[in-house]
Amino acid sequence: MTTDLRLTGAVSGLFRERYPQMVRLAALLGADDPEDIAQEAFARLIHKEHTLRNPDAAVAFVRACVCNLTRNRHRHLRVVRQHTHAAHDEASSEHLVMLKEDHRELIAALATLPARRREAIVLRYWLDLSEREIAAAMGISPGAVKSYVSRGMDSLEQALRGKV
Amino acid sequence: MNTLEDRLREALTERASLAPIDPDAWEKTVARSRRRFRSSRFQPGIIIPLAAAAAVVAIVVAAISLTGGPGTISTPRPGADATPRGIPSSVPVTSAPTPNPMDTGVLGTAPPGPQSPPHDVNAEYLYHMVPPATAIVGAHLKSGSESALVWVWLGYDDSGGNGARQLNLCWLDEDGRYYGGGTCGPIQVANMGDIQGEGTLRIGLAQKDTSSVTATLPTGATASATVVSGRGFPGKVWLVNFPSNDAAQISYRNAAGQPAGQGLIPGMLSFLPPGHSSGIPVFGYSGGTVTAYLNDGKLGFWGSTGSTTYAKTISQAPLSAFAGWFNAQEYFGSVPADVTRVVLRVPDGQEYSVRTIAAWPGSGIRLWGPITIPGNTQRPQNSMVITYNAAGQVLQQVTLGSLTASQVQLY
Repeated sequence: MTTDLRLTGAVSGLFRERYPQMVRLAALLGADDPEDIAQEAFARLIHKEHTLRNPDAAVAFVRACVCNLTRNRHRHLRVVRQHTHAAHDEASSEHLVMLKEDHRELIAALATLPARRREAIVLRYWLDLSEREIAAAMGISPGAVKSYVSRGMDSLEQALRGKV
Repeated sequence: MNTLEDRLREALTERASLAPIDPDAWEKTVARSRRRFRSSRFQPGIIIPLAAAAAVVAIVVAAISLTGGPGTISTPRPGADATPRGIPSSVPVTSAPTPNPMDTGVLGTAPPGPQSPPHDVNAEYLYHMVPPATAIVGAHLKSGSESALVWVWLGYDDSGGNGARQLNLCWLDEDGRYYGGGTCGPIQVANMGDIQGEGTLRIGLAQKDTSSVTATLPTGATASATVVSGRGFPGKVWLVNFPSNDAAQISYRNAAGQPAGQGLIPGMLSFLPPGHSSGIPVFGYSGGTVTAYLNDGKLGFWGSTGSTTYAKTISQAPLSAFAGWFNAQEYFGSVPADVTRVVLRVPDGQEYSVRTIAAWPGSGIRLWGPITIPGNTQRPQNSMVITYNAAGQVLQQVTLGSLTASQVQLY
């Protein structure tokens, strides 16, 4: 038996339940405006709510939107930085200053990873998603997830070793 | 001392807690959604500063001037100064196969004529990062009363900065209804079985002579893909959507209508919670134990951390095969109850054997695994499963690629 999300009002419920998590996901992925990303993702969910059959699919949809939108946003910012010399990286953000010292190093190192490695690591170690769920969010195969996580962790270790 | 994983979890949790949450977020989201309904095109909330937009245009023009080639014809649109040039304003559209009504309501039809791919901000990101090396081709997807126009192209993504240029297959959904409105992903022309996209939209590259592509769901329902091609495409690109979270078997037919290969799409949400039956430990790995559970005729395997789950219906087909990554690349699954030994013959001819273990009384199955394959088997669907009884007789000999979607899960 499927559920019509619109009829049950599940989208607003889902929003209450998941919006903060999606904002935080966008923040961990390095979005410069995490709330904008999360709102856009939920707006897209509202737009297609009648085609989704269950809340699990809706959550997966929003999560994938957050990943895609953040990745696209990074691409755009990279272009802007090349031409405006605008300096922005997570290491200099105000939030980083508020972290514990060892956490600060780790988050700064995470910010230097290629986008897909960073995504895989955040989805794996913050959201505790399965490889299959991560694959769904990133639009890649579960085998590739394994590779991104493994290489990402190697890079983090190397980056931290370099700080010692 | 904590492991890196533990420290990472703590750091991520702390960093996440610092993200502010706007109390009016719901109202803003609803307002944004209404704006979307009024306009058929995505109007992003992220506004590019004018200078930045001009920079984007400059880069795209420069990139296209440098790359040239098919699909990069400069056709400025009137009154659209900020539009990246080099993106064709009209694109060749290949006729899709004749619509074939199905239970899932998925149809494929070609657009009525040449149309322009989107030029919104979201699209511009993708056009710039993976400049089209082919034509940008529109494909109409239909599901019930819903219709969506999805644009596809291929290009090289060298944005990683490591000098490696990798061919990407890109898709862009005008209305943003499929998982974020579009993205690009690496694809290998040598492996036409590469499939991208999860959830309801799946997209892949097939051989040039492919005329139709069909997805068969575990229920037996089928969904026909829209098959398109265009200038510069190394093969046919196919797209399909179906309202299922389960796996699907992809079947290709050539121009003569003959079967021309099969592929598998892993299911996305076909998980079932552990604990509905007594668990049977199947094998250990560095992080714990992989345990099998049975629930309503579905067999699932879980790692100790819950990080890997698989579920397959075994009530009608006791032979199942899964591939996972625990210590290395492992194969495991179920077989009929009279099987005592399973041999996996990989494409290079090597054989790996494992004895089966007892499963649940009355289930009609035994479990097998793990068979660990050194290195990465590039084409696991070409591996063969051979089952033996206690007398050493061969009971079944099948390639993984010939198993149905409800029987096999090869990541």
